[in-house]
Amino acid sequence: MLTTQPLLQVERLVKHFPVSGGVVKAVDEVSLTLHPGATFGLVGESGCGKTTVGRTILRLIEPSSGRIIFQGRDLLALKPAALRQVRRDMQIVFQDPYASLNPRLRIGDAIAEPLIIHNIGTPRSRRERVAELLRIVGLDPDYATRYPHEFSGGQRQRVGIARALALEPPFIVADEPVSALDVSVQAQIINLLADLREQFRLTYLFISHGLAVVEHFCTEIGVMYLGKLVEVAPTSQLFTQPRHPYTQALLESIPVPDPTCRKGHAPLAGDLPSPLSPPSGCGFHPRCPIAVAECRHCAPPLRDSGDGHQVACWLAR
Amino acid sequence: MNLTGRIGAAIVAGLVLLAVVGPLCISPEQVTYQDLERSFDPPSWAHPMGLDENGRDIFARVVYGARVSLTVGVIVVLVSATIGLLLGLLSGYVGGWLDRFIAGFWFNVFLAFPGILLAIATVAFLGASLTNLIFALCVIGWVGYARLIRAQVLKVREYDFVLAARALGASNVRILFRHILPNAIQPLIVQASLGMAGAILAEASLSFLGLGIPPPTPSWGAMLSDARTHFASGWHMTVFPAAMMTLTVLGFNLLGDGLREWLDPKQRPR
Repeated sequence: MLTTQPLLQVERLVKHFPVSGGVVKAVDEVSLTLHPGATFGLVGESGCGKTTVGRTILRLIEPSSGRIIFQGRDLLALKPAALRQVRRDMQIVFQDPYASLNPRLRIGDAIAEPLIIHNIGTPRSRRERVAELLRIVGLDPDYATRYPHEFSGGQRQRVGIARALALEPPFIVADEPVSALDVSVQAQIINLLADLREQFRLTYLFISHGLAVVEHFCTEIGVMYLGKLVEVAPTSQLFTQPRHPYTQALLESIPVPDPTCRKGHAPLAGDLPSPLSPPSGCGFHPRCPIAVAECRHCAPPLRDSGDGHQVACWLAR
Repeated sequence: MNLTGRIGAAIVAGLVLLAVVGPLCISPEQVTYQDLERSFDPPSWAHPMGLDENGRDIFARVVYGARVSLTVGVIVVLVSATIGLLLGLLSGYVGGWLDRFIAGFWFNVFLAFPGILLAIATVAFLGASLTNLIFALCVIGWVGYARLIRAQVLKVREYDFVLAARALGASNVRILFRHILPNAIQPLIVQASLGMAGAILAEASLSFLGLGIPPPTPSWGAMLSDARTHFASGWHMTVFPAAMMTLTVLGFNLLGDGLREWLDPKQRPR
């Protein structure tokens, strides 16, 4: 890939949620860079803060601190009116296709909504555009007059994707877009997203709770644990040479069709610690099979080993 | 709609018809005409509901009373539902200090105060008239709607499609009125139907207490009040206005229940 100006640069993003009894550090100093055309997979267990990262980047949640530079503009410095304009260039596809469509809007109106909001076209041209978008995502244009409840989960997800595409944004946050779908439908949606990436030169931030889904889809992967990025690497490198013990455990948890190939490591023990009282030092040390004394006291920084492979572990080679 | 809902709708439709068409067939003179020699006459073909203590035709008065009841009901419900809707939307959507002020303070003040007592005080202070009666009932009526809508908004605003609208750059007004309101308003329609019954009862109660519409305009509540002292000599003076009121309240309640079921998309066959 040519090193051009990054499309999106997130620097030391922090989001703390005050709750009764303390503060939840949902996102703790997360930095990432997306170049045009890249697909960055953000992976982690439920509750690790990956969804918050996605929503904070779109400023659907206001970050506590950090910088978000999108197309050279500092998003956090934008006034509401300017932010609404920038929203044309960044969209989101949600996890739950049942909650992400307004049940009282016909899907044609739902897809036309962004065009109306940004005052694009006439009612007639918008109808044509809706039909085109429905075709692009593989739905019959005649469906435009139907209501969301008349569709299956996969079809609704296609509608959600059409809505996100309506303004031709260069950047889309896909927030676990397939985890609520049947396995057979998951592949269809992933293929659709991949086709659209080629067709519209899209850049994705693809959020997923498992590594299996992202392997063939993402160019780069970031693994999150307890609000922090613990490892960032190009996909092939991450899969062949995972350096963080958490990433290694995640990779081993991917089901393998052939039982004789099983790698013999014990699965990751324990649960994600409460984000209200995270462990001292490295957040992963209570579950880490190779933790040493140093891990309990001092949190390792995310260090680049020079080959574009970043890892936050004292013991990573 | 289910059977009871349809019965309710039929009763309400019949009542509206009575209130609209009745006065075209019965002149206002017939309502106030007194035939004192025939006071307390029981129901007959000429006077299907009999005559009252002043020899006035009870049927004519019941028909004109329906008009008063429906007018009060419709205006009170429209005004209080609109006020309640706007305040509930604002309180639920904006949240923060505004919500604490509207929902945490104003709702509770109005809910803590006995509604009918507040209405009595308002009318007693302002004087008995149709306008003041309606005003008094609106003063106590809006809280229920506001509370309902606020709760609905708090639920609906958390859905992803609201976040999607924000991500698309929709303004707050658009989010509120195109995405939240249509998904929040259903229970209000049911509540409005039940509220009609409540407003009609409240009007009757106030008129019964002499705080309603001043005579000679007939009102069911005032008719019942008059009948109270003549129950032994003219049973029909009590029975017919009371039966009409019961029927009306029943009609609106059945309609409300029917609407509740009918408007729930999960219970409606497609």
